[in-house]
Amino acid sequence: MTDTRPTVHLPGYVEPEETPDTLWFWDGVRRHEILAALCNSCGQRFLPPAPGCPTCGSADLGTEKSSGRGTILTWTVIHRSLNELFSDVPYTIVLVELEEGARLFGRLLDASAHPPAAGLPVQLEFVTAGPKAVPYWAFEARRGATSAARD
Amino acid sequence: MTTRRPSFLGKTAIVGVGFSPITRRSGHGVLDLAVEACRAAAEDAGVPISQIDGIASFRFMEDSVPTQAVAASLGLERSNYLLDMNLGGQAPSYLVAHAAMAIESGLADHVLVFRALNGRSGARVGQMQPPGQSTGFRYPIGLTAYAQLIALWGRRFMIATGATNDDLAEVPLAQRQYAQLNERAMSRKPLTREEYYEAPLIADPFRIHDCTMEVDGACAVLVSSLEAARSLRQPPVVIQSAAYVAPRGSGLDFSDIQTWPDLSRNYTSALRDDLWGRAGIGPKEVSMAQLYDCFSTSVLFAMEGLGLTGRGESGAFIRSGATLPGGRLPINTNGGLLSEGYLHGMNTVAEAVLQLQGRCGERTVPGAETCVVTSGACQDGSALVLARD
Repeated sequence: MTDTRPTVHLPGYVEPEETPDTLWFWDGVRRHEILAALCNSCGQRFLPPAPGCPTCGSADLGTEKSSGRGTILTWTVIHRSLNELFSDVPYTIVLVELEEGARLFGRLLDASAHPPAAGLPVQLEFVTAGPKAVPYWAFEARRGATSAARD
Repeated sequence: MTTRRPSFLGKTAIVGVGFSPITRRSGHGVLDLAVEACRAAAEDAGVPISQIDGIASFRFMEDSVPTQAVAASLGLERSNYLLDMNLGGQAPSYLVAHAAMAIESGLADHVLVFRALNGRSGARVGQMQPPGQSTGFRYPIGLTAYAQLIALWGRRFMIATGATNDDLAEVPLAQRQYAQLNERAMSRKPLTREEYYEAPLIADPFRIHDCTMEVDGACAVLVSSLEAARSLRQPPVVIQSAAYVAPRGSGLDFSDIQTWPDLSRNYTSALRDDLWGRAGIGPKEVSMAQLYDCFSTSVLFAMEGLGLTGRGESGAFIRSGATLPGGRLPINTNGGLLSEGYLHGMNTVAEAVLQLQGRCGERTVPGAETCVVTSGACQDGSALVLARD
């Protein structure tokens, strides 16, 4: 089914530092793809990009596209932002474990209708952020999921 | 992996403590604060400045001054050991151990360990953006402040252990009782549960009283050999055990938690066996605890991580009164960083020393023989077990 909803826009944005070694991740975001580092030795997926696998230390690394599906590990609702760029309080930030294994932080969209909960299934969506409306990502509760789900 | 007991343990001691005033606006440069606290620590111990030959300190994103500048300002004839560590609150216990190592190995005789900053009127750590490729995964969307990161740990701890908002509240409520007996404390007014809950949320689950207060100030301790310590002005506080750990998955940069396996446990769980094994006592035998508390949950993590209580039992333990004055295991007897102010845990070490020297006035824990001290709240950190001679 074609999704016709308008793209969500996050007003505040701080540009991430991109290095020659992390460009593959941010280039992916610009193409609306989330890539995770994949360890060819132990099979672990991880983010942020690093020159060795945090689980086994191997330098034999590749990348793999994520489905964007995952579950909430933990969250915080930010009521007082200490940074003037992020005055749209309160906003909810979740740490999501993607089903392939890597973790990502993201805003939880529509948190008042679907409050965060441990183990709540979520889906990554692409949004725009900041005055230049650059592509970024956020999460929303997966359709049909309930916030009663626990891990 | 080493299982040896580090050779400096039992042979080195903390011999003096010094503070600058703790304020919201010091009106001085950080160098002046550092030198004031260092002079006070040497004076407290009765060690002439001319005999100091080492200084160690830590800083976060250049918020302090080099040890060399302090050595120069103290007019030290010859510094044989200067150490500037680029860490936050993980550092104080670790630096005391470093100073002790330098002394025991023969590099230096008397080493000052200090933390100095204008943490309120100057650059505020809670709002700084650390460099590195992991912060780019959280800053873009407004996960920018230290309180917000620790809130993510705290929430996971609540999920995993069943801790409640009431359990978090116990930490500042209990510690404020001690702060009323501490003239250095920034917050000394009694705190009620109603006031705790009426205070605004900062980053759920944290309300204002779950968060430390950023301050200006400096704190220093002086470390010497136990042999030298025995002829100084104050009773020696023996460094009985020390440990630092950064376990696998610690992350790329400051508070990168994307690769940390279990956000309901921090470094205290990982160094527990080393710390108690080297101390020769266990968590049920220690007289008191001074636990790093930038936020309320850090105390609960450390209590359970070190085995002072069982998993999921820390909130009820505080509620029972066991950590209060007269209780079985007094905790954070200066009011903690939550009430005294955020000198990044150097003052946590200082309180342990003053307690074991019996110099805390009304809040002195009678008969205390040992104290466990922690430094840090997240993946990596350090701890000490200190003892009367």
